[in-house]
Amino acid sequence: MIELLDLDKSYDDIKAVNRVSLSIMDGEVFGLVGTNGAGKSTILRIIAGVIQPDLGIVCVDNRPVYDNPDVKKDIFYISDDQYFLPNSSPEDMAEYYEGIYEKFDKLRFYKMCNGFGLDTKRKISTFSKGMKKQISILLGICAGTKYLLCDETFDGLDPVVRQGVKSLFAAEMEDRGLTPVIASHNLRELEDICDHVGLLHKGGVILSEDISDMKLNMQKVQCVFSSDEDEKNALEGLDILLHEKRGRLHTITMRGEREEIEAAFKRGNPVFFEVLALSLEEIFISETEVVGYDIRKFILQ
Amino acid sequence: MTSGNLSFSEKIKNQKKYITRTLWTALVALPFVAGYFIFGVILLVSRCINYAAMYGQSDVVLKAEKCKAVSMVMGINSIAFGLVTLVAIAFAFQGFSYVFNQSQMDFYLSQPTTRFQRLRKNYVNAFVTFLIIFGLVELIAFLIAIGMGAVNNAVLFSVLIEFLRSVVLFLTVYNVTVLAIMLSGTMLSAFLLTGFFAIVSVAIAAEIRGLKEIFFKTFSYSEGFGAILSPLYDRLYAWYKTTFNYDDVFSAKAVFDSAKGNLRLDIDTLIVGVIAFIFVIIFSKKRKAEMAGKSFVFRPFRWCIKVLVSIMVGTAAGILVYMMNDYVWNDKLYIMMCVIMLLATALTGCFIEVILDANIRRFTKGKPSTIIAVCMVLLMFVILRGDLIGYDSYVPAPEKVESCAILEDDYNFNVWIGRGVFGDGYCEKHMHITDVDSFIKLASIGMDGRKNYDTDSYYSKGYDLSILYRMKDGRKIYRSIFVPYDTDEALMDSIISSEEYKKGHYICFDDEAIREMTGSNVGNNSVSYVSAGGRKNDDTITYSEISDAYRKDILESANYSYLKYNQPIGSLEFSSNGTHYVNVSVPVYENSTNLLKLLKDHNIYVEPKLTPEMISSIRVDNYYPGYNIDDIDSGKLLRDEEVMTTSATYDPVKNSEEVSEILQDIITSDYNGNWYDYSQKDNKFSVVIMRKTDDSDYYGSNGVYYSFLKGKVPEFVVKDTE
Repeated sequence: MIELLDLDKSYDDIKAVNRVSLSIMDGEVFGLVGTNGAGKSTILRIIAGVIQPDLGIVCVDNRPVYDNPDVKKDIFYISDDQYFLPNSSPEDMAEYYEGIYEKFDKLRFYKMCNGFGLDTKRKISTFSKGMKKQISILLGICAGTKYLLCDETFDGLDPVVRQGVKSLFAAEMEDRGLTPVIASHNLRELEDICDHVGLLHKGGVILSEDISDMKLNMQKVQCVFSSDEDEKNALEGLDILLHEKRGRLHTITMRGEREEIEAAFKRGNPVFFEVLALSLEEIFISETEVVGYDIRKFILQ
Repeated sequence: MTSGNLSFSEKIKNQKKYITRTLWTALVALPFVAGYFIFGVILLVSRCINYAAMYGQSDVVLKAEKCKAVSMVMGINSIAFGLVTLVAIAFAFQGFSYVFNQSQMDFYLSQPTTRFQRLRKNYVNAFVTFLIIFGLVELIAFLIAIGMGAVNNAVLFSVLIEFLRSVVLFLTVYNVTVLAIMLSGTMLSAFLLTGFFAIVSVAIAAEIRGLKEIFFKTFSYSEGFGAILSPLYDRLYAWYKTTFNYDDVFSAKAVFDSAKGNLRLDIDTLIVGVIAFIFVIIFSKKRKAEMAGKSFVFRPFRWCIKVLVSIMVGTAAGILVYMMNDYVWNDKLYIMMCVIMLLATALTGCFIEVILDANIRRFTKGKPSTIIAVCMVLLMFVILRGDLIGYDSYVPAPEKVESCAILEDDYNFNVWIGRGVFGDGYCEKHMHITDVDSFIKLASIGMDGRKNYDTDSYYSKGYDLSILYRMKDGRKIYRSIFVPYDTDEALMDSIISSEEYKKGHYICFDDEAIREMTGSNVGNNSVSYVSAGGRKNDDTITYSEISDAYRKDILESANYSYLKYNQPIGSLEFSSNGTHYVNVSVPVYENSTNLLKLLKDHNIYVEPKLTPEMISSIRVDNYYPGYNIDDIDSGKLLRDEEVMTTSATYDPVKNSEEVSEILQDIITSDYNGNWYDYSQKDNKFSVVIMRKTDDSDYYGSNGVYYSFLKGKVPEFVVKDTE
């Protein structure tokens, strides 16, 4: 488990991370979401042991990570601006990492490269941006580390590759308990990958929760009532987060389990009633608006 | 397969690949290093062989020349240090340039290693690569030299010592460069900082020397340059010393002596390396990954650099003003100098802000540090101008002084016997005056003289001297003084007539090497005595005989109270030529009884007095008719004002009385002795006596030159020439 306790990090006068505490459980895909400058990369770098927090501590499996090679053996960090050795090919990088990570599996790397259509002997500098990202991800997966930190890694991958990477992650999580931590500024990129999401804004954590829990505990309902009295009866006692009304059509986002909400609406005898699937964006918007943030402008693009 | 299953050879192979990829500069350096050493040896030794074949050199000489050639490429007098320096800088940048780039920092620092391990790995890789490249290449070059018969013990020692020095230099330059990198956030600033580190101590030493020269009248040029903690200066100076003062007898002893002579410089280089390494350790721990991209990563350091560079540039501008106005320097120019120093300091501060942030809008930023730099320059100027440190009035406490010396070398010896300029720095080495109280009294008078006398006066009013105090704590303090001619003779005698002064000044007291050399070169020696009466030769006189007599005369009669009033009457000239040369002119005085006896015994004594019968004519020149010579110093007569010289010529037959009177009142200008009081001469007039003899000088003239003593100019001469 990766634990971030009260992390604080400033760059000169700029507060990059502001008293962040998070827990990343083993075996789940953790998404770090936030706008540019929200502190995602800084947090990943702190977790990777690249930079040291001004305050607070990062523990990986109860061990501090900074300048600790034993812990770093379990972490592979893919930076948003990946670096490859000068004039190197994927094969060279694999050989290099083979000397760095004890569990690095070079043969598997070659196989995966073949699977993704990447020439292992071609110079990486001639690859496209997306191909370089694929190489990084494959190197990270084949390093055999317990934690894989990906900074904006999925941005720009085509859907087929994205799907392939998702499958690889799933397989690795299944086989050896890989814990990917993925940072992105785009919620839509993470929605179908992450189990748990932490939302960052201006260096602080606004929200950190399991997506499944969020979805279970929040419902979006479209309905039509025959009278105001029915509406009042139906909504009485419900924890409503958002309520929009267009003509007679109500769109209501509320906290609560589906069965509980369905029972409540039956009391109001709605003319029309339907529980809709909530997107991650809608969940975030709802949750954060409640605590005073208007994140539409920076989450929805 | 995982790395855990790799065989040893595969791990070695991977490491080799890693080194090849991360230290690719090694591959670039290798051809240059190989080219320099291997081809250098082959080319220079081949050249010696061809030269020997063309000019018929003996095998012994050829062997010596070949050995010298190898040493010139690989030994202590080689220029391989330039290559070592470049390689060290390249390796340092190659190994640590990742700190300038955030993605590389992410790449390397996220790997399972500590910062210290990474630092150590880079150091080990660089050092091992350096050893492999230079060691192997030099070994090959040395083996080739052996094959070409160009190696002896001296070459072996020379090459081994130089290799050791190269290792020290490499580590020092590498450490200094890594330190510059650790303090910088960009490649450009690291390069600039490396350059700054390379020259800073030399520049500071040069500026301090320049400021002393400008502001302190008692500054002595004998004072050493004083650059410390500068590997660049150490190596260049060591090379200069080794190359130009090298014993032409190429022996193991000469190599050791030379290496020993440069040991202080090598230790200085080593100290820089150790200091830099300590700072590398400290700053590598303090440096944060996110500092990549900043010009200088530590704000206090950036501040210090800015202030220091601003002050240095401001000071350099002031010195430049002085250099441009050197010959017209006056008190008013100090104001201009001060203004320019302050302006240059302020402007430099502004430009540094622009350069460091690569932003022209920063020109007016960083005011506090710029103002501090300007204030420090102003303070420095005030301190120097007002001599608030008391430089020009400093006289050490006698109990702190071990010995003293007057640093006026004996220029009567022009000798080359294979160890640089023979006698250079003789007084500093040999003169140890222990009568400190008297010396300090004399020095105090000289300090006042330097401050109060117009030492640029047209004619001399005293003695310009450089003095040295050797302090008991090991320091050496130099001063330039001006001792007026009217200084107490007894005080002067207590110093100048002392045996410590004489044995420390006259080279003949430490001339065993000359005696040895001239003794084995008898056939090529020549001796002549020349005075106003003519020249006589006798090549049977040996140098040792001359030196013995000269020594006795100096000890018996070369006292200040005599020298002040007497000029030499002639000169005993000895020369010995061959592979080396010795040219000695021994001044002979009327009281040089031993030298005169030697001359008379060998029948080469020539009377110094000219009689009318020996003269064909006398011409007296009046350089400033109508003026008093003091008018020049008072400004009444401008120095570049053209005044027509007037002359009067006297014939010994037609003007026998005038000629006789002139001959009575003149003193020689051809032979100048130490400690003579030249204010006794009347510099307005010059007397040229044309002799009847065929004994002309080098220029074909048979004239001899004289002056009148002041107040002794015959009235008819004044009348004839005014």
